[in-house]
Amino acid sequence: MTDVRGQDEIKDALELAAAGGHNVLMCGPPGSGKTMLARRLPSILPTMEFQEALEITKIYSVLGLLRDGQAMIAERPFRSPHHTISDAGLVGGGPMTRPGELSMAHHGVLFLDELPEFRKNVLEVLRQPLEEGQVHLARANQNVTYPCRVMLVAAMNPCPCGYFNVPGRACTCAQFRILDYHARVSGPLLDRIDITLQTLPVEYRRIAARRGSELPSSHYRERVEAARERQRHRFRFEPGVYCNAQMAPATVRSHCEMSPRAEHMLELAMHRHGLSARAHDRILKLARTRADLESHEQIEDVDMQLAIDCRMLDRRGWFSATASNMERNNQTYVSKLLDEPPPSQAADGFSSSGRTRR
Amino acid sequence: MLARVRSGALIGIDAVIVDVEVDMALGLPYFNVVGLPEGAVKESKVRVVSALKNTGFDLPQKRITVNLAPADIRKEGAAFELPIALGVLVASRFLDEEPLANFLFAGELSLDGAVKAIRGVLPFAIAARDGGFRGVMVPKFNAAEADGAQVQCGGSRSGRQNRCDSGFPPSGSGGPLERRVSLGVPPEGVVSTGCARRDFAGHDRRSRPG
Repeated sequence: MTDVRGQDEIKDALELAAAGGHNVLMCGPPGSGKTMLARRLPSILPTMEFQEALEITKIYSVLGLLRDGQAMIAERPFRSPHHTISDAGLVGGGPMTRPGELSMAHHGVLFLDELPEFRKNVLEVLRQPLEEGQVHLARANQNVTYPCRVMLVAAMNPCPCGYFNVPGRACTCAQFRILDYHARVSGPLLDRIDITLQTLPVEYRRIAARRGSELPSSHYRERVEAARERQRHRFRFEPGVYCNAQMAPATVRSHCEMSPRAEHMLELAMHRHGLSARAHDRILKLARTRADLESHEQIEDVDMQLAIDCRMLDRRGWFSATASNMERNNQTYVSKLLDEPPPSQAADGFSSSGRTRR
Repeated sequence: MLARVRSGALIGIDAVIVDVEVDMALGLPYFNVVGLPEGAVKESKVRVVSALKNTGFDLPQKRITVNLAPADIRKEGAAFELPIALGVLVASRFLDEEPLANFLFAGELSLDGAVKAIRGVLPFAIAARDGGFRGVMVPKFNAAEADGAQVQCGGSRSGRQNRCDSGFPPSGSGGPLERRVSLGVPPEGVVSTGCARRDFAGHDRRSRPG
């Protein structure tokens, strides 16, 4: 983690994702560290329990990928398939019915770099496995089920040229091309992403600093392990659930206690954005992870605020004017919800000032 | 004579127990494998015959039929060659069936009789453990995988070597718990699942001269 200069907010968000196993989408201009950060994510992931290691070792055994004398996979898998992958390569199947990249990343990270470059049908086959944690393959002569509880990490540019809505650079794309680009990541897929991040270019001072002031991976990893320990304790009677993101709806109800202000905040956000029931549950789980990281017994309003921001804020940031981006550091969108009258509906669409800077 | 050796077939990431039945009858020389063999399994008979010949066993000229039961499961991969070869030896009365009964066998054979690595040994070993078998005999390359299921296993490297022991003691695989710790999987995780200290078939795992 010390290799990545700046981007402290992104690192905190990745720590949150690692602690609870939540899905992440990073959107930003080229060179802002998306791929670097994703590749360093394994250094802050928590250690596996024996049952998790057993399951992933079974999958690797079936694929014949264990080395001579290797008994167990010890590290969480990190799979990063190229975007030319086929749908059978991703979920499994094919003529010999093998597990795919999703299953190879079971209990680990599946990193999809350049998300809009993946074929549309390949992204769509992700939807059900991401939700269920299993992929059912029905063939003419047999039915096979492979497990695939993965943490999805995706990276993309905001537009084909890469500089839409980036302070200091002009985007050279036509409006329809930007809309087209965004449309490749469909609504249902976005609904399953818990944390959306905008990566901004790093200041020169941070890049050029000789003695880094960057926190090492061990700093993040300790906090992640502590949060996971709380989750292990929480799920000790629930087999098959190893982190907050894997909670079933009934479990969510019983384990995610909220403070009244947090509950009110969630209700407001649901009404304002028309969030689905799935989004509601996912926000709750994310808030629960944040509460674990901060050692809160119940979900406080700050946890809920962050969870809602993670899901909503940067998505709106793609389309709306610069002003809201600049204010981002001072005031979060959700606190604006509570204090100010709602923005007009016209601002929701594609505002012209967002397209080109000058 | 009819011989039966037990093995396993992979379905998804789990294995089911498969019986390899070998029947020898008088008649023109004939070797056939039935029971929905796919792909590499169909070629297995060629490898088995060569491997047996090259390890010095002269097979009687008889009609050999191999059945992989249950017959309606697809069997893939070359892992059945070792059990088929052992079944042929039992049916030709070179080996006794009795010592083989409590074990599962799997392995691919090369033409000179060496046992080569296969896929899916961990689910195979788990199926053996759950099916109440005393142990598994797998290629040496894969022997470590069976440790993960806390199964007593014998790693066989060459066909000749293990066939000559008609007493058939599989060598014990030592200390799965130690091996797992050295790989970095935390021991707390092992104990908490409750199967760390569980003995397999009532024997203490660590002291296994066989």
